[in-house]
Amino acid sequence: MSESAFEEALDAAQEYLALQEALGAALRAGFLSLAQARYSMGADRVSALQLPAHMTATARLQTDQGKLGLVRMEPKARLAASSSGTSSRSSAAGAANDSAAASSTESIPDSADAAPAEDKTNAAQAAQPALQAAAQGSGAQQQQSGGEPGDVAALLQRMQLLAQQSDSLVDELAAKYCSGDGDAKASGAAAAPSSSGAGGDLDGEYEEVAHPSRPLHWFGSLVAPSLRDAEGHFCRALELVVQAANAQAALRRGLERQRAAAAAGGEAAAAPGDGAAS
Amino acid sequence: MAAPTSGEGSLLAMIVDSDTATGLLLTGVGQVDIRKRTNFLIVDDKTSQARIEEAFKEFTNREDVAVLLINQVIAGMIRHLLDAYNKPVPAILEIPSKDAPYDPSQDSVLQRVRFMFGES
Repeated sequence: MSESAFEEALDAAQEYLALQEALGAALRAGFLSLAQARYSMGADRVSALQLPAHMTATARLQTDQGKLGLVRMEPKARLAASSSGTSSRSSAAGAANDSAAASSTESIPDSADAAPAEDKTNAAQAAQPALQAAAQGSGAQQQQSGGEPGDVAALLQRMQLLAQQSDSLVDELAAKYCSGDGDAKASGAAAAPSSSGAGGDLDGEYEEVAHPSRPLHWFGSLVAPSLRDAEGHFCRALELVVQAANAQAALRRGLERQRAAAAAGGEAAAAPGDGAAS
Repeated sequence: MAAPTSGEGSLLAMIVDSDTATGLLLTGVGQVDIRKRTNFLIVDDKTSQARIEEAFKEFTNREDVAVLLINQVIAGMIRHLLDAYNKPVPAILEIPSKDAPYDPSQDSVLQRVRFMFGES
């Protein structure tokens, strides 16, 4: 048993050293690309000065069968305070307005993308009678309390719907042209106003500016290709870090087993000596 | 102590220099919450050893941190804490910096291996 534990510990140590060497190579390539990016973009633009005051980790670690694994999470869609303020006003207007706003975001046709807009256009055509009914219903509710405010309420509602439509279009265009994953994030961005209109999360109340989805865009919307290369090298380094952590854990376990085997062997060697003495 | 929310996963903490931090934060491992609590410490010439020790103790006691990365040069400044560290989680990984390559003879884990094999 001690020999197998010894072999396991040696194998784990060899794997750990190999991963450390690969990690060093990946980090060196990343540092070189980072230096090239600093040379082309300027030292201040590629430094810790560009880090935002608030960030959420999108690369996390999860344990699966005792081994660590790297998990990439979708960054939460973050909206500016103006859109969160707009959504809070819409939620304060009443339940009818909320339902109308929710249905209106589905019914407003998406003019940015033609192909994904087919479903949205069909939903828009189907939802428009519901929208008109909701508008008339909210207008009727207003008319029950006072005649003239009904028109004002309908007008306010239309303005809120247009504001939400413009926010969703801006978010979709930003997601499409700034991040590169246009389709996935456009569908996510389209759902963002409705989620923020439902109340939003705690983070949205404290934000003053919209945060870009990728950390690469902290350094500007147009970054040097060397900075993208650096991102790739450091992503590779991160994967090697996770593998090295798993190898280190295996090495620790092998050392523990080796220590336990050595202690058991020491006790067994001491026992016949005690028996012979007695 | 903040426990990882189910499904979100654990964080990767860092005590590294500015270049290493800039590069690793590009991968999306950085976390700064509303209370300005971070999962990384950027070490420069003005960072004191006490501050590094405080950050090491904080990151190793957090329940939402699974791995702690530390430049080997910075690890040498708090070697006494690393040698006394025995917990399996978070795992402490010494990584090279831009100025200093990785030296296996200084790694605390490999020193334990050498000590164990030398003892046996």
